Amino acid sequence: MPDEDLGRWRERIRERAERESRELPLEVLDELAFHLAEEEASVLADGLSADAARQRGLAALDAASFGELSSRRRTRHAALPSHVAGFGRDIRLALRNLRRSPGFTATALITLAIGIGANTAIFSLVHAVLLRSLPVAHADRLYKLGDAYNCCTFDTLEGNWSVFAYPFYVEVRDRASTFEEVAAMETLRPVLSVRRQTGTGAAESFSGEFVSGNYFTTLGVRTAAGRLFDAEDDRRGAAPVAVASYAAWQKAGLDASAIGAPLTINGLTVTLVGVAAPGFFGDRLDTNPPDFWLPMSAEPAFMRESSLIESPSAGWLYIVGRLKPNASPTVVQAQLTTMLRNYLRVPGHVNHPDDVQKIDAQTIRLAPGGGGNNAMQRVYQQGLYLLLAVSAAVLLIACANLANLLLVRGAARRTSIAIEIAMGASRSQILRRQLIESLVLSLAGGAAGLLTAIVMGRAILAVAFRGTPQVPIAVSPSLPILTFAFAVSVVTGVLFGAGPAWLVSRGDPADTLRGSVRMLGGEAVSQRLLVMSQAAMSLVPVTVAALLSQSLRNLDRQPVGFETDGRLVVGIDPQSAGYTQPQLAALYRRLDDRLSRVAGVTSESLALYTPQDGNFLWGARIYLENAKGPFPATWDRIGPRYFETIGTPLVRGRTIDEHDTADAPRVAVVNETFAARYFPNGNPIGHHFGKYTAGHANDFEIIGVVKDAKYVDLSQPVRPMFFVPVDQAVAYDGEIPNKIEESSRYVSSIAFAVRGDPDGMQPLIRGALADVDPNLAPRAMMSLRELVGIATSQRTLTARLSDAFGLVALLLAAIGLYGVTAYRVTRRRHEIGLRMALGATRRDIAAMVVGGACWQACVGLIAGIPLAVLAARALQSQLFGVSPFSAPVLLLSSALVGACAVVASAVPARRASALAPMDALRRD
Amino acid sequence: MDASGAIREAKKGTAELVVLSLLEDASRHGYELSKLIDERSGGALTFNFASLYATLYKLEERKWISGRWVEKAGQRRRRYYTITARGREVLAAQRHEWQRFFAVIADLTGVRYA
Repeated sequence: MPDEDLGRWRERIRERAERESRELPLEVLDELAFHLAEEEASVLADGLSADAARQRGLAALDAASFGELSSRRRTRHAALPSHVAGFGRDIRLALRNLRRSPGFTATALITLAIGIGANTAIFSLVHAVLLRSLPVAHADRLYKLGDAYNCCTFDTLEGNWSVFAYPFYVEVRDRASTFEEVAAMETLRPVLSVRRQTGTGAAESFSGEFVSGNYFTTLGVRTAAGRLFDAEDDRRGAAPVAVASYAAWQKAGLDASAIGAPLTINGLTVTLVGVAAPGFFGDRLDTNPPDFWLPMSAEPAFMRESSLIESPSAGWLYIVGRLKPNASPTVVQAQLTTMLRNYLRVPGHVNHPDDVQKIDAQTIRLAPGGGGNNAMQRVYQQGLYLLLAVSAAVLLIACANLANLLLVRGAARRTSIAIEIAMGASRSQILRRQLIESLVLSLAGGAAGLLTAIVMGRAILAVAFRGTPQVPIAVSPSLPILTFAFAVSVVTGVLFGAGPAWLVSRGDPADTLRGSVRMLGGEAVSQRLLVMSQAAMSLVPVTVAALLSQSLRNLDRQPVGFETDGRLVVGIDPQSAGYTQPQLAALYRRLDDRLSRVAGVTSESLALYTPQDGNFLWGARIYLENAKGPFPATWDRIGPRYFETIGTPLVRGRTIDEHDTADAPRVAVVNETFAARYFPNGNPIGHHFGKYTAGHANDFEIIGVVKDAKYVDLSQPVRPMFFVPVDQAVAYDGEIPNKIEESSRYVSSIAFAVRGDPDGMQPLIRGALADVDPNLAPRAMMSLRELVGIATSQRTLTARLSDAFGLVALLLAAIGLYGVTAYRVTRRRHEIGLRMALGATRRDIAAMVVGGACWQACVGLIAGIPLAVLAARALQSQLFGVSPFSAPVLLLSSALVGACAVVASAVPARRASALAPMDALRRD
Repeated sequence: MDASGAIREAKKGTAELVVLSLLEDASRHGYELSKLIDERSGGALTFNFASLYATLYKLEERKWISGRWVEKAGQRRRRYYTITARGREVLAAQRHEWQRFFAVIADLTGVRYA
């Protein structure tokens, strides 16, 4: 039977509470109703009338105040321990609060996504390029012989050795007992012309690497199909086999049927025995990873006259080994050094007599090999760490923004928080709830940031590896990346949430509830400090961006010494197509003849290499005619019409032409730097010089001087360089100089000057090459403009990214400044109204608001200039043509940040000046 | 403040102590508690029923007491409160404090109580 008395009291209590604009939870209603009903029953039992009993109850009801009861929440009988239940409740509360202020939440999420996303993207690159070990087993026990980055073929003492001869490798492998396994791999990547023997497909170009038979077992690589090399494959006389990389496997469209099937590589029959696991790109991080691995024993068959495997003094191999578990690297290092010195003392192992006394200065140092041999690391290291620093600065700015937003929001919610405190919530609970809200926000932002990071990472890679056939880095979420993103999110949340949370949980609720809120002193100061620090911090990315962009502009504008318009370069490899030395002259005639007749080609020329094609290997010691020397120089082999084709002007004398054949007197053309350095007192024309030994000092007669051109690093000064005809070779005494001379006769580039778009010429040129010899597969075809673009791509990338970060920093600082200024205008309405009533004009008010924002920004800028200068100093090596202390750049950056402050405060200033004084005074 | 004001302030402070003490040896519901307070103090101490429940809820939130609904046949559904272990600790501490306080006041003012 429903309890009518209880029901009636319930109703009365509810009405009474409504009169105080309170709503009581059902359970509370029940309990209070029970109390009053029991009271009524008790009074009745004492003998009073029903009326009197009811009056007693109503009197008690009237006297009650429900303020403390109305938002009482009863927790359901939770099965969870109270900590967890409270935690879950706080999270739900946080989500609800965030949903209730969509504007704030959206702004915060976007800010966080950008900040955390940028950091995660850069970190994933840093991780992939600099931190991650190669996907090989026992990477920690893998050591490289040599910690210098020497490349690539050596016939002299290296001092600190890192490139070795094959016989030395054999000795190490057989006699160094502290290694479990020792493997060797060559320093270069020969071009391979590969064709399947079934079917008549044209040959395609791939890159290769000669490796020892135990290469894969030393590195612990797994197979994706078939098998990998073993010791048997590396025996002299074994049938040639090859292992493909997973990427090449896919690119060539091969399937399982190709395993065990014969391939024609450079004219030789080779059996493909297996495919390496996906993700294995070789023993080093490289923009040109090998497509095929061949055993060392096959090197003589492929390289023929250029074979180096027998030579005891030609260094052309990297050596990597896995140490036994308890071996000490320092001890092993000393043993290897002794081994090297003993090896060098054997007659014939050192090329130059004067080198013998230097043998005791030769050393081998061990370097950890797990990160791979890393030219790429060197190139990208500075840029990456720089970007990481800049993105960290951007994140800090974002945090400052969010902290400010939270302060504003905390102030707005002061009343409700005061009530919570009055109802018994402890300050630590309030603090905890605020922190949890910040953490929820930052974790959500972090998740959004992760997505942003993936997109950003892919975009960055596309720009950074522009022009490379394969990108050996995958930017996909892996555990370290996810951990990083999570950690950054948590730290961010605590950073921007802690201060405001603490401020909000302080403060006397009684003051608040009494009304007429003034801003807490701590709050105003914090907001100003945050704005100043934002201004200071945003100066850093803006300055960095300005400096890098200026450097890039300088780099782009400098004269490179050749033409980039209408120039195309095609790579070929006559050696892999099977040509021998005696056949080269005729081949080059045929090529010149056929290629010059291609429609649209105004001029063409062969060369050993052309500018910016990555070739930095052709250095030589030269001796001048009066036997002075040796001096350093780099050199190139070129065909007739070379300089007109690539657009390098002739300064004096003549260039190499058709008359400079093998029988004609040996000539050379030098660049301006060569002439100025080695013939400072006049005209070098008619003088002589030669390579390698004083005995050859009269080999070449200088017939011309050309303008300096940048063949290698665009940001480095040009080195002395000379050019010799493609057909004229010199016979030397030593084995290595002769090998170098012979291999230098194989051109690897053909340069074209064309009318119209160079890229459109590709099919015609491809066809013309096939006319000459279908086995001459073009290795690559690129316009000189594209090549130059690739050469600067790392710098361009860094500059563009820092531009983007600078913009984001400015935007965030502007948003922050806008938010704070707008809030303070709201708070100061009364004051503004007063001023206007006392005669201040609209302009005065606007000036006051903007001025206030600007002086905060100025203070921040002054503090930020030392930071910016420090940052600029740190990136000094990336700069070109601009000093890190450049006053104009600093001024420009400061002006940008200042302008941003003015713009950000303009809208609130306008609103302030548009206030009607009476309104402002009335509403307090 | 005047005398009644002082007592009002003192009352606020003692509400928790009183409730905890009354729950020390038995679980009780709210109405029962209010009756006990009224009887034991001889009418000197009265709580408006809303503030009594406010105090109970506050104590419950602090986990010094725990409440549960009990429904028996033929009886109205009522909520019983039980003191927790933590509550007992707090009670002992508060008792100690009040005793010291009164000792000091007694010394200073010559107040004696029966």
